[in-house]
Amino acid sequence: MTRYWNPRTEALAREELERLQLAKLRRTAQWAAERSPFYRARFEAAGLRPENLETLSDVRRLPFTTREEWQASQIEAAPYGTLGTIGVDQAIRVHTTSGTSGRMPLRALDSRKDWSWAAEMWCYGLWGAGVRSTDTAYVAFGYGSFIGFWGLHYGLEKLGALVVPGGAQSTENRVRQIIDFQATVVASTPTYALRMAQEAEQLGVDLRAAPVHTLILSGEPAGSIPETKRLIEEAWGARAFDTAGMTEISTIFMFECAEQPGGAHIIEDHLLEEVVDPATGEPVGFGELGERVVTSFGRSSLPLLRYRTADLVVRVPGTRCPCGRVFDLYEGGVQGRADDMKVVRGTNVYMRAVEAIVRGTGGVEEFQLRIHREGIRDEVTLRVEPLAPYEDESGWRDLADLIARELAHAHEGLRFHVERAEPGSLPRFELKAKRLVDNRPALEVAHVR
Amino acid sequence: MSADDHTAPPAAAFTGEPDTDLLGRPLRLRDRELLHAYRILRDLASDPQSEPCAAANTRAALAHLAVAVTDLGLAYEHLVDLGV
Repeated sequence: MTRYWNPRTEALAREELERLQLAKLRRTAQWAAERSPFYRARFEAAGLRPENLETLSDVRRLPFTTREEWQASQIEAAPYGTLGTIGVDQAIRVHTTSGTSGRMPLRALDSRKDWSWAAEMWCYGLWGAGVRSTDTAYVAFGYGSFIGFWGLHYGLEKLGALVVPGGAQSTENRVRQIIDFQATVVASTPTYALRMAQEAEQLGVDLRAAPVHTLILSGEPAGSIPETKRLIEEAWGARAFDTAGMTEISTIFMFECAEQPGGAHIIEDHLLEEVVDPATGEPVGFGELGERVVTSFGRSSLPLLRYRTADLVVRVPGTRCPCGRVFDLYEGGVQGRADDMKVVRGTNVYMRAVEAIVRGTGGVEEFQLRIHREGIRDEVTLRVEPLAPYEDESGWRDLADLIARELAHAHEGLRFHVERAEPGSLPRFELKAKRLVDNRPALEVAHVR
Repeated sequence: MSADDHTAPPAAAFTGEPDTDLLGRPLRLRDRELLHAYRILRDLASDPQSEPCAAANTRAALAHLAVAVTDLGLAYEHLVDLGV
């Protein structure tokens, strides 16, 4: 049986893949210019005709599309804005962004074909991770208006797996259902995979003895943080596969294949991805950290062109992976968010780096990072709920010293205060974890952009 | 039996169908059959006289088949005006 969901394109030569992308780019641009009020104005303002896109790099003649523009268009033409090409009469569903950033959620309509396409992109990833029609998959997700794992659910149905929808359940019930239904695949955020493992331990359930062989992770960068991934895989006795998606394109843009080469493949036959310097917008090369910019070919109802995602990634050639896919990789998955980087006394602090260190100690159940102002000085405090072996005073002291030392070492000597939190006192998360609390006055908080 | 060994439908069945995919490569027989099925569904979806049950299920089938022919690089079209 083929290892590729779509052998026709996943194993194309690079030159052919780029010809396919160019053909789709032209048609997508033409469609957007004809049918999207936002893009019609955009093309006119740029003095650009879609038929004049002669090479893939010509896409850079188009200005970026930003979240702020999308939000503004939703206010101007409520509730769906002007980016889309269809009205509610042609749509079959609507989803929103998660709202975890505290900003106005984006709303996106999908047509029948668009929704089938969203599921299809998940099939690339599910198949690549080894999920097959013989699997029983448990989806540990709330099934609300946030798009989350909705597309994965439909992708699982499309490839013929048995899907158990785990919405509206307590964590205890989800753990019990995973066992009762003899699930072989579980989908959740990385944080929630750990949370379910902790719950199972308290219930006396041995997940390692359960038939789960694959975890499909999404929603947070942690699925590609080796330290977190190792904890998850050890707790479940299963392989964990990272994916990442976004409501703005309705689905995933990358997936980890069975070879797990330390990165995730970009689904390049359906997406044109650029990586740019967040400050200048100029392209960066292979191996350099930059911001993802996506052009999606899949959604007729919302033909997104050059959308700035704020995801920080490092692109490397697909040839680095032995699986044979032509698709390039994002090394280490999504490395962080351009808008999540914090500057504390001149030092850049990324939650991903903090999580890698904290999880790497193997002694932390839950944590939270607080940045606050003391007088005229910014301080950073890590609140930690230690695991049982580190709860006594001596164990805790050793753990706290280790974390403080490693965090300082990774942050140019910046001192992190490490405080002990009462068991169960820190927030738990089912969807995207929000472990960073920045209490500094808003206007003085530095961002990348 | 490989796709290319498959007994070919009458040539007339493919009248008006393209001979190449989006990359300009010649179509295999199975590709032509898929495209043919896609065009039939597209025509059916545009029929305003269809019964509600036929119209809705045709559109649902067309949505999936459109994704398949796009995946394979055989066609790439927007179908929102057909309710797809």
